[in-house]
Amino acid sequence: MNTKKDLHKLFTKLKDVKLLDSEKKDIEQAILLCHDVKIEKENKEAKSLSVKNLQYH
Amino acid sequence: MDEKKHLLKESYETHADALFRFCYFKVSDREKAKDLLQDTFIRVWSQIQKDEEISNMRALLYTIARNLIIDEYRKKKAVSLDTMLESGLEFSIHNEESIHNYAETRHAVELFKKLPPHYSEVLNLRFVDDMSIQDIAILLDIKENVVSVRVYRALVSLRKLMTNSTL
Repeated sequence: MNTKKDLHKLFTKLKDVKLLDSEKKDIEQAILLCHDVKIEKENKEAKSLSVKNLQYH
Repeated sequence: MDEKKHLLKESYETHADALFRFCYFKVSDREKAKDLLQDTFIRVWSQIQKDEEISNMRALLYTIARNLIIDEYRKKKAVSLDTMLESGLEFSIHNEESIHNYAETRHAVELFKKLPPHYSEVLNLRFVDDMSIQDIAILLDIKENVVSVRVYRALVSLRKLMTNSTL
């Protein structure tokens, strides 16, 4: 049967599964960018709706 | 820096690797795990922007990631480990790691993936991400004693697997 030490070693090895620094940075940029694009889109839609409302009145 | 952006960056810096690992062990696909990580933080970023109260950031992140993974499973069955290895999809380790360490890590992942998903999930949270039994119980929405029993059984299974293998 395996010892606690073997298990500890295995879990430590699993901690090596992580993002590369470049990947980490890219994803962070994408998160910020995606949100900015979404906000811009929502603002445009809101503007377009208000213009339509003005035209209607 | 904007306070909200600072909160996001801090959370990302603290939890990105663990969350990536959580997703990766679930979907067996590195690129998919990266997408899930990104989608999780986009959702959290929206909540931060809307000034929604976040009492436990880590719990929130894992809950969102877990729900996204469930959606993913529904859309498409997860790729098996064999398929993943055949197609050459790999986990990445830091460049400075030696070939020996790389082989050991790969072996550890292969062994881990042989466990039933609910076992590898609790072991990852408990011993790789160092989460408390209480936090795991909250995250998985099960009782603490159920978590403890699951962790114990998962360890027994893992030990059996290790007996037939050399690490």
